Amino acid sequence: MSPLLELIRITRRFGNLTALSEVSLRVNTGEVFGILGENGAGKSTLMHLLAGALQPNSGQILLEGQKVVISSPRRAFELGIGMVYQHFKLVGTQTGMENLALFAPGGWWRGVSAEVRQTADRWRRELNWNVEMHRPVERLSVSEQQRIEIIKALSLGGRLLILDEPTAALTPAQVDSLLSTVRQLAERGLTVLLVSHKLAEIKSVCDRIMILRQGRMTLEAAADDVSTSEIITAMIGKDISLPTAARAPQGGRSVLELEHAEPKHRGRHSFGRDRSVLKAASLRVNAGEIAGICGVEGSGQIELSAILTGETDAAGRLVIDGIPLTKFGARRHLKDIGVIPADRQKEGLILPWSIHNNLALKAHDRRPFSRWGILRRRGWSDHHERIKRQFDIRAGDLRMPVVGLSGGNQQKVIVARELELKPGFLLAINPTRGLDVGAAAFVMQQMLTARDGGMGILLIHDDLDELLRLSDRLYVMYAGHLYETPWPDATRRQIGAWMLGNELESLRSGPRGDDGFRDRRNGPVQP
Amino acid sequence: MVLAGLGELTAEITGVIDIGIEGIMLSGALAAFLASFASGHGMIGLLAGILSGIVMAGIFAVTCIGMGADQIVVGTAINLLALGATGSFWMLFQNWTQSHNLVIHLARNEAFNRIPIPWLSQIGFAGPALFDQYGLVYFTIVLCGMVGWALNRTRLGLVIRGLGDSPETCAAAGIPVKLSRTLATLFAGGCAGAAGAYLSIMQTHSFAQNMTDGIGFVVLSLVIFGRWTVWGLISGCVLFGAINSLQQTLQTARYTSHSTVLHAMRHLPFEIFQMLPYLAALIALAIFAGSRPGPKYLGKNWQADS
Repeated sequence: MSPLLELIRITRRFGNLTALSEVSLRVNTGEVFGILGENGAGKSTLMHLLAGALQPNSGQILLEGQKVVISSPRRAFELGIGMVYQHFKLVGTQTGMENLALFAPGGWWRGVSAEVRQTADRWRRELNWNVEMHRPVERLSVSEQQRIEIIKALSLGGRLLILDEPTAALTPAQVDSLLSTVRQLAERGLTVLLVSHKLAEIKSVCDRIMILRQGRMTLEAAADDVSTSEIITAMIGKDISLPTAARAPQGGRSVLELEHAEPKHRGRHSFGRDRSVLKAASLRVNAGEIAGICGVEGSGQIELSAILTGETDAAGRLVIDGIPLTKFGARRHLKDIGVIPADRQKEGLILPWSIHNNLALKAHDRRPFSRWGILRRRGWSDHHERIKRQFDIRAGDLRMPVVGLSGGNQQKVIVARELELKPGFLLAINPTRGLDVGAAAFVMQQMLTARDGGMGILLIHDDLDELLRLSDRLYVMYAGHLYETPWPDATRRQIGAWMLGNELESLRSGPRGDDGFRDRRNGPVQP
Repeated sequence: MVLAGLGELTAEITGVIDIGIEGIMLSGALAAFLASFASGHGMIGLLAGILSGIVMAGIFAVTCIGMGADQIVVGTAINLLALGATGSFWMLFQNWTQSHNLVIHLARNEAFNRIPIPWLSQIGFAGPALFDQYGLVYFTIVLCGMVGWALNRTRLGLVIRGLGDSPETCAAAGIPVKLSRTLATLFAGGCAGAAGAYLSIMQTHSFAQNMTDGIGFVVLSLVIFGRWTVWGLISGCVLFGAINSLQQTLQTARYTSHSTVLHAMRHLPFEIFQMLPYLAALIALAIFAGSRPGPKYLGKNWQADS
């Protein structure tokens, strides 16, 4: 029997760049096939070829042994190929049903036809999903939108389902549910192509996997036959082990002290409701250690980081590097603390600006970068070239805008800028989010090196594995309260329970029993 | 006005904001007048008006949708171009007719006549206003219903709305984004051209320099006021029309009425009254704008990546 889908020596070039080079693969009916690769390895190009959004320069696509040309997205639907993009293709103001009808074939003058409705309902019943189809999709949660996308792809295609980074925006529980749906579909005879850069997921759900690196296929195997390290080697060309460092010695001088801090203005538009999550947070970060904060998203992490960066005025006491700060002081001192923000594109970089300018954003008013208020760009070049080498920023020219860099390289620019200032205290929020294995390992290694150099780092991270790997001490944040854990003398299971608010009584909530704090709390911030 | 608004509405829902609508109406008015003057047939004038609207919208579509120029800038340019071109053309035309001793006026039968609908046009107060009108007005009413139906009840409408809210989704659905937007823009141009023709060959039987007098811009604001719905647009136009006739009545009434309040208004410059409908449009916009955002990609050009 011929395989459902077969690609023979597919090549696709964009100008000088060869995105895919002679890639061949066979996917059998009823199989879950995983495609792995780092960012820029050619995964999305391959997906776009199958979805009809791009055409190959050479090579053949066979569907059940028949040569096909997927000339347009519509042709892909006709061939039974349904695609779920990482960034959903849904019109936010329209309902789920209307979105389905928008894609459905048929005349211009028909509305949401009975046929569309029936197909959608059939898949909904089959998957046992209770998705709201009659509300504008922008009012639905991300996972509900994804379910609509999957229903859409199944209704249109129904033979081959392609999922592009489907778990990127989901919580762990939603990921599990999605992956079991994928298995369920495969058992029903549907073929699923799963594109991801998350190893564990791919290994757990796929029958066979293929790995792309720089447009070439470097590995194709049954998922059970390969080890994680083989996969990593095939993905990035060398074996990268995630960095682990010995725990730092305890008891350095403190670089950050926070006592009973909470936002001063409680939600400007709250109309009396208390919308601020964070309540009387107290914590301490010492020089030469990484203090981690774990917690379910929305437990107060955003408010806490806003206080530390001076974006929000705080009640309470904030001491950075031994200097107590007033609210104005916090703003001025923002230049003396390092911040790796959660959203690198919105808060960390000025996207249309050059790498040069972005690297200089914080240090431009110091020698040798400027003198008497005039920028000395000649001084920048050597310095920035050195940074580029040291931080392995892959860019042709430092004058090119950062918007053209990959996510990993953008993050490296931020990390380089913040660490080069050699601040006593660094706040890092989800520093490896969205990065591939190589870049993530690099960023983690840089943070460890900085720690060993005496920097105190507060790490707020939603990847628990990495957080535990890096942290010397660990706080748990639950419903706006901070609790110090006895990590590393605590099990992962125990930490998971604390994150969900269980058994918190055993933990200490910041410094306690000091009446002095209570007085200060309601008074003005100490000068 | 409703007609021009209808076209603009459709274009804006697909994400194209054509602020050149004023200029398109103006060129439609002139083209319609000249064509019916030359041919002696009102219908040819109307067709010429529509055609010139489509041509003007075509210029807009090529520069903005095709070549990616900024829609506001090009729209402004079209307004200025139309104002200048129609003005100079009109002056040339006047010179020419004077030297040939021709009368610039359309004979009554050359332009369209009102078509009273028997029976209905006799009904009391509203009868003549609604049912003793030009054919184009009836057509507009029918078109309103059709566009409203198409937008809300058909796949075409889903696509049109999708184009303005999420063009990349439409591209993924295999819909040619640029072509569809161009068609919507041309439709808007045709509607605006016909609306211009209405002004010249039906309402006034003549042309005057800058005769549209800002109506195109009012239409733009009424589309926003109506929150990009056909019914909202119609109610906006009715409201604007009502305030407009109110100010006209006020202007005459202050000389004829015996009321002291109205009498006192005699000393106000008449421009104050003319200002009223526009002021009302502005206030309405300030109140209603922001309550529901329009198409997300309004005024943003779209390029397929790679």
